Amino acid sequence: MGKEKIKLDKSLMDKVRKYAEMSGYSSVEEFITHCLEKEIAKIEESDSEEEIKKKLKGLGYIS
Amino acid sequence: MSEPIHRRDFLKYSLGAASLLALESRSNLVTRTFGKTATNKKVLILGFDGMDPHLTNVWMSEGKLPAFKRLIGQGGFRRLGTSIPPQSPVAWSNFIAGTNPGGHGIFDFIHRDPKNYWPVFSAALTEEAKKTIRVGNWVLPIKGGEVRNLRQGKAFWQILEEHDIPAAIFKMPANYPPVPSKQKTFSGLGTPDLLGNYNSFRYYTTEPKEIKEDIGGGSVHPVYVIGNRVDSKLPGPANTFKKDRPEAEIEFKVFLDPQNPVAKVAIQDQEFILKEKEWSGWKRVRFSLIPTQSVSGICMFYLKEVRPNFKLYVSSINIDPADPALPLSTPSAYAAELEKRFGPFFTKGLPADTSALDNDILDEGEFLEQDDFVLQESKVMLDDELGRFDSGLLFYYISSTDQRQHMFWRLLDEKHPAYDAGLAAKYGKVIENIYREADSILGRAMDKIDKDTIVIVMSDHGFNPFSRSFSLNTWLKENGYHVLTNPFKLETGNLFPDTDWSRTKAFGVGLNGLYINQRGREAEGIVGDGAEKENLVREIAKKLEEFVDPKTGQRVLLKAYVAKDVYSGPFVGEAPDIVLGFNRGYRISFGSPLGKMEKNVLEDNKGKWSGDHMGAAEILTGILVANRPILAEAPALYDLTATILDVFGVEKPRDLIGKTIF
Amino acid sequence: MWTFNAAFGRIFEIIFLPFRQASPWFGMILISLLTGLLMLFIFRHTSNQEGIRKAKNKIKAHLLELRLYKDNMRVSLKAYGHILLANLKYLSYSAKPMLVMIVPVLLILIQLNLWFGYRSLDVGQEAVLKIKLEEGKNPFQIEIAIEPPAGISVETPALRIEELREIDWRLRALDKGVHTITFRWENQSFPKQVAVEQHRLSKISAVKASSSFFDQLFNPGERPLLKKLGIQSVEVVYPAPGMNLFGWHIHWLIVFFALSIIFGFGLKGFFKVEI
Repeated sequence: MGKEKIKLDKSLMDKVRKYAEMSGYSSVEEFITHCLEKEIAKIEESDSEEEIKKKLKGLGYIS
Repeated sequence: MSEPIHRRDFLKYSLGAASLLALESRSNLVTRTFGKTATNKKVLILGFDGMDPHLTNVWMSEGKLPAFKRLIGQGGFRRLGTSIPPQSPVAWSNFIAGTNPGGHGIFDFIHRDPKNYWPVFSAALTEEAKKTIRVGNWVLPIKGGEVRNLRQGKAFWQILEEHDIPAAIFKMPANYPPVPSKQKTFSGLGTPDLLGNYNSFRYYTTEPKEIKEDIGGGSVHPVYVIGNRVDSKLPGPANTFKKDRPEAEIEFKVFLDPQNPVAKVAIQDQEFILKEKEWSGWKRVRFSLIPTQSVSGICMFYLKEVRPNFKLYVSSINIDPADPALPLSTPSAYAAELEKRFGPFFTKGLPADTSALDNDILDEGEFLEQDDFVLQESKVMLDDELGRFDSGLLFYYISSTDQRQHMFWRLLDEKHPAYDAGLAAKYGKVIENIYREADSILGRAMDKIDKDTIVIVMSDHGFNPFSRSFSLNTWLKENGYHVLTNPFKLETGNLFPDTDWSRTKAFGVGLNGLYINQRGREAEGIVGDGAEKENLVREIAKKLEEFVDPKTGQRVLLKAYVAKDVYSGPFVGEAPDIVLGFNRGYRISFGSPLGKMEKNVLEDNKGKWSGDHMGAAEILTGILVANRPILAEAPALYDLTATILDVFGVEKPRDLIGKTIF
Repeated sequence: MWTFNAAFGRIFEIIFLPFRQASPWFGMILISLLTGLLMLFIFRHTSNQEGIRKAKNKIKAHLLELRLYKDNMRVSLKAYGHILLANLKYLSYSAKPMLVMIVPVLLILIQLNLWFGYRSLDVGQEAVLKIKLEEGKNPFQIEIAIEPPAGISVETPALRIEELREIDWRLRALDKGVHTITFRWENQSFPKQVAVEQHRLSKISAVKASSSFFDQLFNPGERPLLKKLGIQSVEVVYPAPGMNLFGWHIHWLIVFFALSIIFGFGLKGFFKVEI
């Protein structure tokens, strides 16, 4: 797996460390990865939901 | 000036010029029809979508369909067995593949995605570029995306091609994108507009409040007349090259004369003038995505009103056949060849704008004016194809028969909840007239062909009224098969937002489909495969067939087909578990197919979309007419496939289930 | 001015006469060849041929120097300086012929636009007919009557656009030919031609312009409008054809410049012209 570095604000990073530990994540990376994946899934879903409605609705049989 | 010009050099120069000229004619080259010399047999098939045997008989007995009568006199007439369910993509796929849906995998306009219970189009899948790079705000694909036709099995023209028999297949439904072939084919029903939608009209008006808010198949754009000018934008496809995928758009201006009912539209580098209530004809628009990429579309403008309110309608932007952004034909150059011959033409699968009529954007007369353009184009192109037809098979498809029956049944049938005597006086004969139009199309074709040509006229299903709507998901809820997180909720939005899947046993998606929430198959399935599911399916099917409409005392469904009883072939496992076969006059509600629950299970249908064909296959047969005696007593769509192969002496592949009709 | 336009235009009519029914490429190739020759002629007679030759030789010599002494920084830098100087000299020598050339080439381009810039209307095709008024005029103060000939129909009432000082109509071509629409206004009248289904290489005047010098210069196809009318131009908006190469549409200007430069360079040795 490739590694990329990202920059986080120091105070945010402190919070991330704290909550990662509190919620029982084995590492800060795991916590951040999980959060990002969750957020991305949300965005992707709402996008395709709109898209589905727009595309299907032109079909006269449904409304 | 020292040396005289050498003769050889002169020749060289003039050759250069000649080859330059030769280059110019390249695009005039006509794609060669495949396998020209292989057969001297000719078969012409005219497909009239949704032509109903009962109505055909009635008007034929009144002497209104002389060409049909003539053709039947040379051969015969039968009801043509349709598919379960009798929806166009399913029915035409039965014909294309020569199987029932278990063999081609198209069970409904809409299937469900087992990952999330969401409705998806059954016919085609658009996959976007998987690998992209981002440069600033741009997203550049490294590997192109693709559009895939999801119909399985071989198309009969692919089989003919293997035997070197030429076929031209024009606007065959359920063939988008057209399956690979050297034959000339052009895609039909299922072909999206440039935006990737089934329909997306635009309506620009200074009076947006008179339109319903949430309309399907288009959008309303409020505009203002300032200084006798209207400025607005025509939205195009999502720009996938840009971050956040904004819609590409084109600005346009409309200049109004302050007294005369006339306006000038200025869009991109073109200007055209329209009087009130005039159509523009095809106009080409080009959306630029990134500096090197743009897509071309064609659309029609209709100036509905100049004053007191400004109202301008713009049709769906059809994919430009001269420069198709998505695949429309095989060979791929065939679309541009047709455009060169005829100019721009409708490429959207179902060209008529039923959404605009349904939402009062266009009135009945305006809808018919536009659909007349569709018919006119079809007639011109058919005439031309018939002139080129010298060998093999020619299939030609007409959509207007289906679309007009959907929209005008309410004015044919006094008992329909949306019947309107005033409108009926004016438009009560629309359906009769389209049957007579079909007759005249057939008549012209018969005059153009030689007597050895086999002529087959077919439709994919019949028609019946859609007077009462049935919300399958609401019924499932009321019968305890579908459970909401909040049991007091009376209605829900699309896509099952309030379903408690951990307690739900069944759900409806699509126009005829009912699925069991099966463990291991659906995302949060709870019903075990085997006896548990089997018993549940039989139980629900029985209850559905027994369900009676309290208002009419009639059964709502004639049949609740259990998939494994009626389908055969490799894709049966992908079918809905139960397929609804409605009684005459009934259909699924408008919301249930997308995972919505209406308040009531049954409601009157007061919409303009008033005729339909979602019933039991037994009561919605299509028509079959041929100029050869038809020996089969009860032929079905897949029998026609076998017949075609038989006529051309091609051995029928084993997975085709039909038998020849002659 | 009109006399000059008419006479100069005549030359092109004669040049293109044999090619009118053929593909426009024939006419384009011939006119590019002639223009290439004209440019060579001008270059030869207005440029300092000897100076150009010397400048080019100098550049070559210093380029050689660069290659031979590529390890010697000082020599290399000096050679670069010399090349730069020679280049400037070369450019200054060709500036004069370029300036001289602008005038005839511009006149030729204006004429060619009449031949290659527009495609005549097809029978059945529609077009916008546009009257543009002079600054300060208002389309509502003017009642212009329009009299179409038999081959043209005017399908819409006048569309007056104040902000553009414009009066528009929609025409439809009914019959083949070069038709003349007559406009009447008070006691005046003036004609405007409309071309329908002409040969592929045809002279088509889209704009009938006012009698001001520049308007006439750029719109030489028709006799200019009378000054007192207060009209800046009368235009039929024709489709722009483009030229077809390998199925690509290319603007005729690009084709013209490419071909005349190719011809010019191709024949420069033949005519011993140093460019």
